[in-house]
Amino acid sequence: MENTTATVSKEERALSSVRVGQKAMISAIKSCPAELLHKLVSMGIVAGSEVTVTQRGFFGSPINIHLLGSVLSLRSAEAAHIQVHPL
Amino acid sequence: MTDITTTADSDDCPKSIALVGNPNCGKTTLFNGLTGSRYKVANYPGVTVERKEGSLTLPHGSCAKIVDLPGTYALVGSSLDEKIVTKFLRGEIPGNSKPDLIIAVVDATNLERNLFLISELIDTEYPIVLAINMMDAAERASIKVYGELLSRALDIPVVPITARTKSGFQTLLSEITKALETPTISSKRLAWIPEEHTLRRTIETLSPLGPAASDPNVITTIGSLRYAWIRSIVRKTTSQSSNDDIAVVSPLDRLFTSRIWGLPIMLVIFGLIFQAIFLWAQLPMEIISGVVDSLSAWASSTLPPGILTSLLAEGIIPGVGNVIVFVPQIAVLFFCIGFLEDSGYLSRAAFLLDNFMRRVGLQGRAFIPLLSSFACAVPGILSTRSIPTRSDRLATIMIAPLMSCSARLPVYAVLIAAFIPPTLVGGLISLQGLVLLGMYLLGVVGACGVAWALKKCLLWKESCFYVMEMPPLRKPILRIILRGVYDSVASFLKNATTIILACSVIVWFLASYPKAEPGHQGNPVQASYAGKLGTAIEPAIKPLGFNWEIGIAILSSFPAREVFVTTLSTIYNIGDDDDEHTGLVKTLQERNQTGRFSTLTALSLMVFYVFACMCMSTLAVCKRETGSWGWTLGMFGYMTALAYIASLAVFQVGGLFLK
Repeated sequence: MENTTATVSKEERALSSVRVGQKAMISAIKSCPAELLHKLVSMGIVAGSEVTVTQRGFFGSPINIHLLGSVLSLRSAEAAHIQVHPL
Repeated sequence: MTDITTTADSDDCPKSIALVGNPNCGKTTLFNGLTGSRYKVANYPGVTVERKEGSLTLPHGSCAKIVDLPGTYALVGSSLDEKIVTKFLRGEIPGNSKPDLIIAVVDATNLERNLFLISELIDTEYPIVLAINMMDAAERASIKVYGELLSRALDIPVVPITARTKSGFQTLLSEITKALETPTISSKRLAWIPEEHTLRRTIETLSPLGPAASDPNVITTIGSLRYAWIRSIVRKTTSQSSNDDIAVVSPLDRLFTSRIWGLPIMLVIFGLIFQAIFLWAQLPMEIISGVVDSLSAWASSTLPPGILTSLLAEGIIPGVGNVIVFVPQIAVLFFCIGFLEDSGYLSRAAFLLDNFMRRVGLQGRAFIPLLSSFACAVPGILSTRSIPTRSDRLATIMIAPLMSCSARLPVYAVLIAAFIPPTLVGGLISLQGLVLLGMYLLGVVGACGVAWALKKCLLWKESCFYVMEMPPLRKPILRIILRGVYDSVASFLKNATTIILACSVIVWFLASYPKAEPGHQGNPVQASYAGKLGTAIEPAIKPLGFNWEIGIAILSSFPAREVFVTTLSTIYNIGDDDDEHTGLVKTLQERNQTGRFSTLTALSLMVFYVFACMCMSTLAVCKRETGSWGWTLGMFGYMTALAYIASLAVFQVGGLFLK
């Protein structure tokens, strides 16, 4: 499914490197342990979802994202698996 | 209001219902409303996950057992709590049969994410009644949910409710009754995956409650298909006049999570909590110990002397007192935590602290339990319940008693006053204060090391993701906070009393028997089993710089550390004319001058108390919270070993320098 939305672009980058206030579309979740992947997917982190980075903690972790009407909090190590296109 | 009443015992009910939903969807509020807040709290066998069960009376008079399952986002849960849900629905939890019906709860303001679990539940072919909760909040956010349309799209009964105000309960109850009488299964099983999809055949053969897919491509494809299906349903069955999808962070939220103001604000809030458990709980605690002391004095003076009186006055009454004395601290701490949790602030604090706590293998939410443990590890360990992942919770429980609690303070105070000169270091800070600070820091450093080692060696296999939803900030509800305080105090009293009381009686026996012969010289404790044991272990503790007197004092302080001071005073035969503290300090200084109690021994002893698990209440609570003797004995074992090694190092290495 992710192939349909994941048009390869120079801009694609990890969610962990997106700055606060930036809107982005999830393109793929990469090299992620199955258990974490299940968790991310069940919470709505799937290719094609739009997210906005709302807050970042000290040294950039955790990273809070707005998705599907509420805010999710994840560590930058976890966000590093999520590939996005800034919008 | 509805006329819901409960029957006494839910086990007598013929039908059982499981309550399933995401975390933060108001499931527990609904459960409290349905059961009239009369429910039993227990643990699932062998695990730390709380199990709530109650019963509800249906309109026609029969009753149904209702179990509040832990909140989860999917049937493939990653945490232990979440796995319980799947196990429960598989009927694999001992003593729990498969439920007859699932009441699925979703948050109307967060419908898309909530419906993911519902789409999985539909695949299980359980009869389902869907309650759309928080309709009032949805209305305020101008979100309209068309229940009938949603019911047709999912092919299950749908009831809009507001659990906080109990609106919609009557309709929900009649739908539950209907579903229990004539269970129907949704025709929408696997509706999210097109017939012609390449994965369709594979998925049809898999059980929805079976082992989860492990191929990343399969996981993401399933997820995308489910969400696409849900999105199409949500589009058809809801409407939203304002565009709420814009990410707005409220100014208060921005302030709480700000990199500049976040930490200072948090420090003030946590400082107040620490103050509260340390100081505000002090008065009720002193009153309780005062009452207990006078009760046992009254018992030993009024009742005829004998074994029973001694047992009552020196074993049972102080034993019960030992349990009740913790209630003020637990109540105050749980009130504060309940307030922070229900208002959504705790998630902000966890956000701020996670980066620091992560470095020792813990997470942001471990901070409050550890902070509380500086007052007392008992409420500290109880409060680890707010940590959602099991491995983080276990690691936090295991290191909580290394925080120097208020019961160590009398031990430090006496030894520092007697052996550390009150000189000023650099003309500013007193050496005594520095040593005291050193003891606190030593405990913290030890805790970091132990947490790190635990996560590396024992708990590494368990997944611990931080990924979680930030609940919105809102005004906390007093009723919910007080209910939480009541639950934790009640469960502490119910579960810790037996162990603490039993230990008190055993220790009383060891310290009182056999009785000293008439004309026995010195302290009667010496003649007792405890005294003999203290003398017997002298060879083992000699390398730490301890003699048999200290040995007895250490052993007798196993129920509670502060007893050390009392025992040492009685062993040294300090008269009643002196205050215990100053008398002991004087005696210790005399002994120091005559070379019978060196400063090095005092330092070694303090370090011993930093690490040693001399508190049976902590062990009792650890057993209650971990549900395992393995972890409890492990805690006692590692702390004792750490205490021994650290004291040995201090005395032996220090001896080389001081010679």
